[in-house]
Amino acid sequence: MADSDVARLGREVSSFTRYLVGRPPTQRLVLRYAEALATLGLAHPATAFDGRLLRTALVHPFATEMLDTACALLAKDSLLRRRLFVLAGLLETEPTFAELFVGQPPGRIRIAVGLLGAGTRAGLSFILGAPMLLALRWTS
Amino acid sequence: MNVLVVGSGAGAVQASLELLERGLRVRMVDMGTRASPATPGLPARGFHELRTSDPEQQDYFLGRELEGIPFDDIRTGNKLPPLKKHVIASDAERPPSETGDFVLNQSLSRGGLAMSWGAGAMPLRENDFGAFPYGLADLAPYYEKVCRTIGVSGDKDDLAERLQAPEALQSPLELDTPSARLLAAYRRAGRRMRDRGLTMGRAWLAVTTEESPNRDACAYNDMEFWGDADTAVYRPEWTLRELEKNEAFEYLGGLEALSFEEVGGRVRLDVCETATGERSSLEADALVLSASIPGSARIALRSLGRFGAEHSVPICTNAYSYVPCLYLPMLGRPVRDRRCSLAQLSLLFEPDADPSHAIFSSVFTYRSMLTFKLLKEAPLPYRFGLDVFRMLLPAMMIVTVFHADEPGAGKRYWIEKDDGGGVERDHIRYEEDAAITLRRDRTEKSLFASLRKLGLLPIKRIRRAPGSAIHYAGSLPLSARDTELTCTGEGRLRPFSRVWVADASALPMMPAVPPTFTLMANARRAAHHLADELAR
Repeated sequence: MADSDVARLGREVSSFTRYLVGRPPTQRLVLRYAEALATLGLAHPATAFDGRLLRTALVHPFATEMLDTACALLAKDSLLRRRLFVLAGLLETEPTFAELFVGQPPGRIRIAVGLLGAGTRAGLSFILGAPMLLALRWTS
Repeated sequence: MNVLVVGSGAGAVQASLELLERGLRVRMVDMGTRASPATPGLPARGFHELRTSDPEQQDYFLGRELEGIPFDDIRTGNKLPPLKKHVIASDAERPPSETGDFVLNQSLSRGGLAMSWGAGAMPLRENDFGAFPYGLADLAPYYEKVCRTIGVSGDKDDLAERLQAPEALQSPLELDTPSARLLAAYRRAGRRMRDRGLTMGRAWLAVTTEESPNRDACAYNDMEFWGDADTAVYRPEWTLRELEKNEAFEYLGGLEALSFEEVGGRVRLDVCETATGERSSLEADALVLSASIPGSARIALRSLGRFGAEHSVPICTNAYSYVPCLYLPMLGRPVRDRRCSLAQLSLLFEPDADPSHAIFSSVFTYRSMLTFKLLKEAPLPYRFGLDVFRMLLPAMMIVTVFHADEPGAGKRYWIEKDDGGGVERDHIRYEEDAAITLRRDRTEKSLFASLRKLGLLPIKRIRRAPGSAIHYAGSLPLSARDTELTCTGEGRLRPFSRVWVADASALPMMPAVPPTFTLMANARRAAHHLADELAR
């Protein structure tokens, strides 16, 4: 893998990991992610749309959440969703991040507030992300 | 006297045990594939400890080829864990097939499909025996024998009143936190639930709670789903190891059984060495087919030269749904780490007196599954999905729903030879009657209404394609009618005098209750009658 590819992948893992769990990745995670993409045949975008989607998420990390939200409903099989899904699996099987997944649950009030907050945020993300996604899809 | 047993699965090892006990010699013919030597072992440590400390956990949670990451049509709960993947034969290992929507999983592995079974060990009810040429009283002594061999834990609770509990039942497994609360809620509801047709109890599982010289007691590591770090969960391999210590038993691995012929009061079995393709024959006084479905039927059809749809045999499978649920009383409540990851509770839902309308369900807690897999089932942004599922996970339960199935004109299996090279191809046509599908749908809705009364809210019903339950039955069915390719009440395959069937092929229908315990008992029974026959 070329140095530029390694650097790009490092930025991608960093951006996606912060998006998914709010923490920076470990170097080990970056390596595992690169291996996983190669193993699963996800190393390269299959369509121009996938390429544009990934580039946008990479250049504008703040857009990742909006694009993911829009893709969840409008482009489920996009490369962005697939790569995020793989990273979620890798994060979950990494001891450094394990407590995020196997810790005890928060209390009921925190759950209610958390669900409300996350739901509102997801709704707003969709409103902003859907036009972005459609623009990326129809950009020649 | 010696007997050839084809296959090494749950039925084959039980039949072999019975035959050896009766003083016969047994040679077991088996493809016997095993996990690759590179497959990592499963550490004998708890789920929480492994998750927080083992840097190599990806090997057994996701697999070295990341086969545990479900893409495309693979749905959550539709795949064996990475350490068990060798149990299901790959497309390259199995004969070519045309099965339409029917999911036909076959095992060529040593120990067969039960090397990855969920260990559910429930006997049939008296009224499930309508299509059998014998009744529960005939099978009960064999349930008892199997129970002692494989070690079944369970409670003598409400469910035991509906199902005849074997005497040899070991003390029940400890329940995990959500399941203990759910069972308590059911008991509080008492008669109201039973009036709705719902019976709930602890799952009867072939998981030992009592240590013995050959078996470990359950360590409650919450890793039982992922692999076998010990011998607490029954696998046919544990019996095979014991069988191999007996000098009257011989395991012949790497052999595919092709066809048989009765010659001069004996049976000749043609086999093919899988490594070299070399063909040879084995002779014995009798043959026991226990090559699972469709293996046993394929051998029988080939032996009679019955090719084509006009010589099809029946095939049954459980209609199966997978239902993630939210158990509201567990929201925000802590859970214990000490638990077994297999089914916690079993439900029998009987909307009316007809046994074919009954539903059997197992209740699992999602505790030791991986959260990210749930993301696939929800149209949510992943960050939101991870946040939501992390909060809700202790309250997530999975209910699996199995319906009974009966043979029908639209449910057939046959083999066909291609015109050109003579390559055999498996064919399955499986069409369920629309009225039955509708009735099952209504029954499931009634079940879910009862579960909601207990605080268990179904979130989504994932209906699976026929065959997804990996429970198949009925291709060489026990029958009182003297018809070719059916079994006599004793288990002998018609029209042969020296060939017996000891797997799920012999069950004349697919009960709602998981069939493995019953097929093992029936294998014991068939072997018993075979031994009687040879003694004559």
